[in-house]
Amino acid sequence: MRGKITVDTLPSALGGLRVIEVAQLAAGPFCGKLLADLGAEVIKVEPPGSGDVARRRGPFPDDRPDPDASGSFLYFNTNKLGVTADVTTGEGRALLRELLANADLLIHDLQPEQAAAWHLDYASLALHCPRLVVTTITPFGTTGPWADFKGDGMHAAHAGGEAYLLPAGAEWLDRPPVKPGGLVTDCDAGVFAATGSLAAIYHQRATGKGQHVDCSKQEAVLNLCRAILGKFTAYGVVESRGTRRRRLGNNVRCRDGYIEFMALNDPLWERIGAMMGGPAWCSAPDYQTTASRSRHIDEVNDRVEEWAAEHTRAEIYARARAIRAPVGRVATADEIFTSPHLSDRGFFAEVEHPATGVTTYPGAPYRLSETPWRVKRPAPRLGEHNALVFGERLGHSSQELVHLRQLGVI
Amino acid sequence: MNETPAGPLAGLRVLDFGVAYAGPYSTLLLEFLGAEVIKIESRRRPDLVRLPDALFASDPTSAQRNAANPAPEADRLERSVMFHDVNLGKLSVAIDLTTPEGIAVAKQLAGVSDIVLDNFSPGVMDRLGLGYEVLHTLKPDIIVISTSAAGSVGPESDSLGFATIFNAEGGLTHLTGYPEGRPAESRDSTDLRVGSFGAFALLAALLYRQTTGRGQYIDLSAREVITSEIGDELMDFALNGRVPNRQGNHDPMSVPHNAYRCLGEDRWISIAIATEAEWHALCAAAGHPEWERDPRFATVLDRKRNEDELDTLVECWTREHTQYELVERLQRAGVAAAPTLTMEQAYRDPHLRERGAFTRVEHRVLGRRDVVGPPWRLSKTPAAVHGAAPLLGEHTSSVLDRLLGMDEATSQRLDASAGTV
Repeated sequence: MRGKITVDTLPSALGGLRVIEVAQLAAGPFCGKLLADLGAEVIKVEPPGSGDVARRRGPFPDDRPDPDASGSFLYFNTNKLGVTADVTTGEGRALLRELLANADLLIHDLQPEQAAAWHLDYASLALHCPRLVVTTITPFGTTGPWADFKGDGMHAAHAGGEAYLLPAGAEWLDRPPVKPGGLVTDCDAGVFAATGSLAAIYHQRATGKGQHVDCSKQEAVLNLCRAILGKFTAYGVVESRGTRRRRLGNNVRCRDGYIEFMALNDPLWERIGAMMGGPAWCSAPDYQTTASRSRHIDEVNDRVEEWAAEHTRAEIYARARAIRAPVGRVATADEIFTSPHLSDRGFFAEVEHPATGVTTYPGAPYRLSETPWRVKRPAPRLGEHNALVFGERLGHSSQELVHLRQLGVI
Repeated sequence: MNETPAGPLAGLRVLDFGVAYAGPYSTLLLEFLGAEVIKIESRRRPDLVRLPDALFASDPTSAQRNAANPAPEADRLERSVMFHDVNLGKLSVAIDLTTPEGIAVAKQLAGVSDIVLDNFSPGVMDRLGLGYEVLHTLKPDIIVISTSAAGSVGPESDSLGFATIFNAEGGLTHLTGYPEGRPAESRDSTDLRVGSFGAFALLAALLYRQTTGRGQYIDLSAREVITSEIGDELMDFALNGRVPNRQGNHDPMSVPHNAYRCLGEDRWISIAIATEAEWHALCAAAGHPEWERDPRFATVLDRKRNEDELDTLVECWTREHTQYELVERLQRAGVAAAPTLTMEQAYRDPHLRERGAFTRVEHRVLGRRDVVGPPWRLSKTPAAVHGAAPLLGEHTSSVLDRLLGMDEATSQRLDASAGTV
């Protein structure tokens, strides 16, 4: 391929890996981001005009909608190149096929019926690109009676079993179960998809053979619930919000938010007592042992909360840290971004983007000693790299590109 | 299962010092992909998850449960379902890491391994003499991953590793639950989220080694895993300095976007409407064309503004019907809908069954177990459950003989020094 874009002498874990991403919002894009952030070249293919739906999602700076400044898009697409191609048209798919001829991995989130109609199912792709790894990320996987059913991260949380346990507490049984916050279940599917993709690439590099990696968002969440399933298959216990009562700790309100404590055993409970200044009630018979505390957990929570109400999260955390008491802050966004610990670890990335200026993004959770994670380029503007990728690399003339643009293909 | 084609990581060897949940899940995923995973264990200081009531540690009925079903003392460490289901297909070698001889054997095993994993508190592997600097000298291309609550460096690196705490510190607890209710903790799923990220980082390091022949050290922070999977809410702070709150099932773009009660006890369906076409399809499928003409719901902004009223109307309709009936009806009409499944329902679900989401294994003490299989289907080199979890020390002799050429008397002495039940 021609048209080298970056000059970077630091080694990267996935340098040389060529990825095409046809995916929107979070699950597929997070998979692509994980690879791009470790040095893979990820070319994201978006529908011309509207782009990835994440471009319309926000949050936008000052709430002014701008497809190039949507926080959701910016976060999930760092380090990628962006092109537009309408894969619902023959011309758009011809461009995609040209890209795939030079790629190692295709990530897509098209539903199986749709993919087959456009010859983007694995069997059709393998005819032309036998060494291509094709990773599909769909709500329910590509086989089975629900293969073509729609769904987002909320559906994955509910159909995968996690939502039925949230929020824990019998007092919520008249309210609906909820998904975990953020886009976390989409990200779960993205992480699994990235792992499966790299395993297939590992095999491809050794043998020259591609394959299909089929990821179901429902099964991503189900996988994380394997212990809950174990309770049912081993003991017939069906966990719910009602049974899922915390017995050894909880979150309790303090002066400016919530803290979380976990008195798994007696020594840890003693530390929590010490953190509170050693009140006598902590060693009363009802609270002294793990078993008795779990029977009186509501009173324990109330009493810890009574104490916590007089203190701030920061005060409580400082006291807890001094004696290693099992207590954490229920952190809010501002606390995360101002954490000295996270800054010290180099967790955050300063990213400059033409639509937003310099912004601090959450980074990656790992430090790799030889091949550090880093943001080399911000998320692409819509079609930003059309000329580079379609023109310089694939050799289409500028007249052709103008024509394709007029047709709405790119 | 011998006729199953090998997984993509066949031939790789992983030395697993993982305990509890997050570390062992990383290596479970590698095992599903065909790697050989050797757990280092000790009876003197067993993985707490091996204790029989680990699964019910926070449940006051566990004592009664165990009293009703007493375990023979010899099987005391072999009856944990929780341990079993995250250690499928692994090998177990019992050695005592508090003795110089045990450490020497651990080093020899690391010398013939590709990956070493631990999720002890930061510093423990160094104190045992098994830190990256040492292992790297023994095997220059070794890949080592340490997973901990807040990472192995930084001022809070001594944080305690409880899932509820790092889920809270990572920011997800605050964002889970109803806006007017308490924040909601997650437990088991949180640990496994961390483990799944560990497996990804290991694969990336493996690809780098495949290309360059170089290993490396990976420091994985559980708290940061959670923070990096949030997305929009943190970007709102990044761009606008706003501190978002939890929103139940609601979504900034789609409305309705919630779970609604169905016929039956505590049965729910999740429904999301992302486009005008889906909105029309929902109104038609529900038999409520008047919703479309209602000025409160005329545009997506109106629907968002009157979301609670709309949720109430939708639920008045859903509560007259069963979950599965509604899911089929809505999906046929082009509306995204899924049941809120209990684990019993998931276990019996026809779609999951047809996809082979569960695998049956046979364990010497637990008997027949149906477990959740791998999260992917790989068409040429299948990921698979290759067997039950090992008994503690089940493979001490066979592994030490095969890999280190150790005679049986020596390996049995080592195994015995790791304690008896």
